[in-house]
Amino acid sequence: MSTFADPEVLKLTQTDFVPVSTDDWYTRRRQDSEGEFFRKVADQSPRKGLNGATRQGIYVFTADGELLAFKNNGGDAGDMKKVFALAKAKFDKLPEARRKPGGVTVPAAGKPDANYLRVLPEDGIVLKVHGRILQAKAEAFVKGTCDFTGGDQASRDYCWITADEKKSLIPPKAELGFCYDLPAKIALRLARFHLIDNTRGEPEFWKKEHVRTNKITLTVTAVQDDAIELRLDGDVKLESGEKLGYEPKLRGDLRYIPSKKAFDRFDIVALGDYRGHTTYTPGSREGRTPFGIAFGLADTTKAGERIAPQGLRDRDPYYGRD
Amino acid sequence: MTRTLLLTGLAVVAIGGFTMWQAAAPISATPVPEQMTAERMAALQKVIRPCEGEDAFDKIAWLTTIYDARVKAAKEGKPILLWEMDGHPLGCG
Repeated sequence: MSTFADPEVLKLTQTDFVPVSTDDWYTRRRQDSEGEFFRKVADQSPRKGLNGATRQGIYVFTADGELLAFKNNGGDAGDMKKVFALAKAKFDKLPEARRKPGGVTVPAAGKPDANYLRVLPEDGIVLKVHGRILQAKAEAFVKGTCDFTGGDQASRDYCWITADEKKSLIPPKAELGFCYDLPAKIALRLARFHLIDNTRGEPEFWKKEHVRTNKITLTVTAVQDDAIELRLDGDVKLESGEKLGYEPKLRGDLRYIPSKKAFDRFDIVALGDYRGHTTYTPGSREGRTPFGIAFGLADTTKAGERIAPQGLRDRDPYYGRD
Repeated sequence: MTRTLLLTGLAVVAIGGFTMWQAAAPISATPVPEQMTAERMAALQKVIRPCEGEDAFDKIAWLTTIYDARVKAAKEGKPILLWEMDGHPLGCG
C-alpha cells in the first residue's frame, strides 16, 4: 500500500508542503529550465544520474533549489515521517527571507524542451484506464490474489484521443442498428498500449505483429434529439509467443452529444485470459488467469488526470505513425 | 481394397489430427459471459476500479510540474515535496 495511505502522512503532505509528482523518464532528460532545476536539486542527493541512470525518489527542497531531505521510493510511513521531520527542521533554520511567503522570486519558465513535452489533445478525449487481476467466483468476478506485493491493486494509466480521432468516432449514419468498425488508429492504440497488465510495474507494449485479432465495432443503440448512444463490442487477441498473451472480449457504452461535440460517456470493459509478464512486471500468476481493464472519461480539471499516457514516451507508435 | 485402406487411413489421420488439436487448445480460465449486460459491465467496472482505501495518494492535489510547485511554494512560504518515479506515480501501474 502507498505510504500516502497513512493518515498523518496524507495530512502533512497537504498542509506542510507543496506536493508535486513527475515522471523521472522525462524530467531527468529535459534540456530546459525544468530539467536543469531538477538535476541541480537531485545532484545534492545520492541520485547523481550517472550515465543517464534513474533519479527517482522522494525529494524535499526549497523553491530556490536547496535540497532538504531525500529518500528512495518505497519504505513505510515511518520513514516518510522521519523525512518530513528532517526537512521541516532544516527549512525552519533557513533565513526568514528565504522562508517567508513571497520571499523567493522564481524566474520565468522559459521554452520547454519539445522532445520531452506531451500536450493534452485539445478538444480530444482523455480516458482513465485501470487494470486488475481477477478471479472467477460463481457467475461473477472478484479481485484476484497474488504473491507479488501490491500486484492485487488496480493499476492506472491514461489514454489520449485527438480531436480528429474523436470526429472519426461519430457514426456516419445516426440510425438505430448502424454498425461500423472502431477507427483503426484508435483500435490499434487500445490494443497495443492499453490492453496490457501494468499492475506490477512498467510493461513492454505490444508490437504491431503481436496484435493477432483486433475486431472492435460500434453500433448505434439510441438516437435522441441531442444524444447518440453507441455500444462497443470487441474481440482482441494479443500474443508474443507461447508465454505471453491476452485475449479479452470488450464491451462498452458511449454517448455523443452533438451540440457539445463531445462524448459524455465512454465506458469500456475488457475481460479475458492473461498469461505471462515482461521484464519489469515480474510475478505474474501461473498460466492463464482472468484480467480486467476498465476505461472511463477522466476528470481533466485535476492536474493529476492530465498526465501523458505511459505509452506516449514514443509518440509515433502511440499515434499510429510507425 | 487398396482404395478402402487408403480412405480408412486418411480418416484415422484426420480424426487423430482433430483430437490432437482439441488437446492442444488451452482451456480458457476466464468464462466471459455470453451476454455482457449493462449490469455485468457495471459490476466489473466496480471490481476493476480502485476501491476505498486504494490510491489514497489521489486525495492529494498534486501539481505536475516542478515550476508550478516552485511558484506555489514561493508564494506560500513552504518547502516542496516531489514524488518522482520512472513511470509517472499518478499514471503508471
